Amino acid sequence: MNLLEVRNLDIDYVTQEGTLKAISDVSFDLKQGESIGLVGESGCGKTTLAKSIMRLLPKNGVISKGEMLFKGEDIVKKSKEEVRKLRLKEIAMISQSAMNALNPVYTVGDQLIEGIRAHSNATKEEAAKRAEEVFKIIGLEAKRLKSYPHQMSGGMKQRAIIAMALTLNPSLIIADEPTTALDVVVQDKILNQIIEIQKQINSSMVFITHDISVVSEICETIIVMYGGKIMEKANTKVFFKAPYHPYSLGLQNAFPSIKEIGEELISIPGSPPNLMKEQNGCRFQERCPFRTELCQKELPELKEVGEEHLIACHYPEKVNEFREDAKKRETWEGVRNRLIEESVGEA
Amino acid sequence: MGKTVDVASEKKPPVKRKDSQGIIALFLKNVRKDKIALFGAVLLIFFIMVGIFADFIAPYEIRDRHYNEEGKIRRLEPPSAEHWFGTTDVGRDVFSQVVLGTRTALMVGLLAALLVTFVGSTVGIISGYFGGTVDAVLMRIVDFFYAIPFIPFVIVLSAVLNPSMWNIILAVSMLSWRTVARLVRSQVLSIAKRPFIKAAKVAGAGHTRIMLKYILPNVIPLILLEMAFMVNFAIMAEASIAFLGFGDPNAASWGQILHINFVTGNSRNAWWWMGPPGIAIVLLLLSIFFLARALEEVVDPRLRRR
Amino acid sequence: MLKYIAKRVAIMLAMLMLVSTMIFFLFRAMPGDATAFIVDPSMPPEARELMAERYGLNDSKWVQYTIFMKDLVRLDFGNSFFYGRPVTDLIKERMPATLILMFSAMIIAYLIGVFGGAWMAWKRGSKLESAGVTFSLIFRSAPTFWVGLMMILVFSARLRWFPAQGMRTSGYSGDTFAEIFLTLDFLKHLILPSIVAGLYFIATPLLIMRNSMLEVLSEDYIEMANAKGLKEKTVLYKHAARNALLPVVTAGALFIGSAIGGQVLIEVVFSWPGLGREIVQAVTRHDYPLAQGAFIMISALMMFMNLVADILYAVLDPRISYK
Repeated sequence: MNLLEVRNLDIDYVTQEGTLKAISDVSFDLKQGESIGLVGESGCGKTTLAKSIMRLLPKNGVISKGEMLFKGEDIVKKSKEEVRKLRLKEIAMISQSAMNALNPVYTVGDQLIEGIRAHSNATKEEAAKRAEEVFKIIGLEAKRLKSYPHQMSGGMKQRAIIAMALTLNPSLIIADEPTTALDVVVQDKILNQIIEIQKQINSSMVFITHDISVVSEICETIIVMYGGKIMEKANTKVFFKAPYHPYSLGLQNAFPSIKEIGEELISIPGSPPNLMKEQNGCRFQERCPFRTELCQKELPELKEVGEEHLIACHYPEKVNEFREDAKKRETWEGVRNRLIEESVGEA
Repeated sequence: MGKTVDVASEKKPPVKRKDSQGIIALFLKNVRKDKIALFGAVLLIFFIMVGIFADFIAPYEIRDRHYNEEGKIRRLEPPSAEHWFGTTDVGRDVFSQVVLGTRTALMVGLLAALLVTFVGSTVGIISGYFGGTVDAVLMRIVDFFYAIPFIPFVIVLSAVLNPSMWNIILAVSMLSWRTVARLVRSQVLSIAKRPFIKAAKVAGAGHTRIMLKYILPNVIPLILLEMAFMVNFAIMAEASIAFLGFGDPNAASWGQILHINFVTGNSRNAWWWMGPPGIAIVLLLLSIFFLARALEEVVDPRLRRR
Repeated sequence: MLKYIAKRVAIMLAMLMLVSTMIFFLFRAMPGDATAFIVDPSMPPEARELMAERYGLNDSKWVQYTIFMKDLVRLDFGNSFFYGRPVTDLIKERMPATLILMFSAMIIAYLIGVFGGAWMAWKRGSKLESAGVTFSLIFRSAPTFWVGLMMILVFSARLRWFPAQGMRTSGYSGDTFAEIFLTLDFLKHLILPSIVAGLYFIATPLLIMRNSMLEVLSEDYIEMANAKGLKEKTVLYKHAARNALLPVVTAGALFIGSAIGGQVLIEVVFSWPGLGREIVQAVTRHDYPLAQGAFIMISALMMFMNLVADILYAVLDPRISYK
């Protein structure tokens, strides 16, 4: 059974300058126990998507279309109070910035206890006991519960936040770049802990990152987003062996595996589309080395190209050709030159 | 004493370097956009006009006593066609007094604010830029002035000096520069750490040049904002001192009108006498506060509405 | 912490010495013969000379200053010219009235200001928010003495709801603290002046709280608190407001200086028998000892409140530790 089903989701940000279409027509399923990695450049809508699952969008963010079925019930239609009851208990978030995600004026323990007591009739003592348990699981001493955030290191704070997310054994964990603020060694340890615990309590996970290599380590499924849309969704193993979408190919170039160390990185020229403007055709066409007239006119639908492997490209059959060319520097240089020409033409 | 204040103000992101034209342009843009600020601008221009042309607008001399047809003094008459705001207990025209009071208020406000911001910013910039002993000494002086209660001090000083507008300006300024000094200093502290200041030092620019050319332009928006608040502060202080009876008895000032009204025991019956000067103070100060809002957004971009 | 407080108290005392010195010489520079105010002009010159001698007015300024400072250490401000009684006694009598008025006004301003400011930030961009800002600015623009006079006009003279003057109805007298201050009569007298003062103060907590709330609301820990499924009110008041309060406390301390100043005017308008009104009268009567004493007491009060605010800040923010 699917834990979460997102159907044709549209999210807009209403600003003074106009409406920004942060997410358009996004659909995907998340199975019980599955972990999905959401990747893409900043501004591609991955954080917006994740926050919308908890209905934590900023005030000007509106879910304008679609539904999100969590355990069969539409989160979009739920009242504020119903959503509040879901948070932490059913859906927990491990936030992006460990440094500032804890309130500086309360002890870490109080902040954990507060969360537990917001969803149960537990007494202070019971909640404190539970807090100690999760601290043990995550590898923090119980006495740390009495610390204020400023008395802890970044790694400890991040662990405390993970502990917080685990206190009520949620069915779904949303991890929004949980380790970006930490140094590499600590990063690895904490990542492993997250997966371990996620497996233990058999919860599902949405893992957001711009670092594609992290996904290969910890997620079963990968969703590549660009310009507020899904470009490719696949089993991680399949994806890393044989990605389909030209954007995925470009991303792979930018994050080489250890084996290819020493090779120069090839980045994708250009910048993401301005989502305030009306978009024509494929979102990636501006920066795509293989674009045709069709790409500029018509939006490609998500199509199945293999078992549970979906891509949004007009030319899945040309994938072998694309894979070859995408490895070459000239291919992307061509995009750069085209972009320069276009900008000169406009001026 | 200064410690905790610095924590609060240093959190503000320093203003990016702007030329003065940019500040004015941004300020004007904010005024146009913000209806309340625009209202403030119109109101302030109205007051300035009244202040400049007070002699032409006021129908009578402020000390003239008016008589009716029967030759009796027009004591405490409510508003009429001849006397728009009625008359005082000795038959003087309230409207003329209020009109001429505008000039006093604007003069005191502007001159005191200029003096205060000049002294305050100079001390603040020097203190923040040099740091060390200079800073410590100057800040202890600031602390000292923070320990003096404002209104009582100004009363004493006005009593020691002869009551006159100039002495009130002096008294107000003596105690108000400390606020500006402290605020400017904490902003200069954060600016002085920035790379372009170091670059200027390396390039061999002298202290005076760095302070005037590199630091001053960055604190100008803050100084202007503080100046706006100081105008209000000074106007209020003048009115208060005059109300307590320590003002210049010969000047037409709003506080003075209210003082006479109060001490003659007419504050409970002659509403036309007591109302207008008070309303004038409220409106003038409000107009400057409203304008300052637009300026505030220049100083602190986080306040800008998204 | 104790060491810090001790250090602060020491600085405070040094400051007070300086303030006292300044005020002493300021008064001696006052024009006019002080004896003219305490001695009936119709009295023979010999009598006037005698009075001057008794009050030490014939000594050189330095001798007077030394005596003044020596007495000051013993909290002896001398005798009032006007009342002919020790200034210390007079201050003791006037102080409670001033403090009660100040604290009631502060409580009104801070209660409404803090909650209102938090709420305004929450409702950012709404009509109610800008109405709140405008409201507080109107009262910041209005002179307290004028608002006081208007209030008296409306609520005392016309509606006759509240008394206009003093602390108690004439004829009533009480000796103990409770008899004077814990009566309905006193409360009735307190309402108008404390509302007037509160309305003037209110802009400071209200606007600072609003700005500081806006800043805090965009912090990550607020999102985290929401993500924990806490109730909206808990997030707003327990998490956001608690942090936003810190700058309000600091600003409050610095504001107390002008608050006491503003109160002088309210005391005059409402004939409130406090220190502020006394200082105005003493200056008018050239009653140096009383004016000096009241001035120094107000100054000490300000410094003390500053210290209290700093300590409060450390209590509220665990990140701050004074050494």
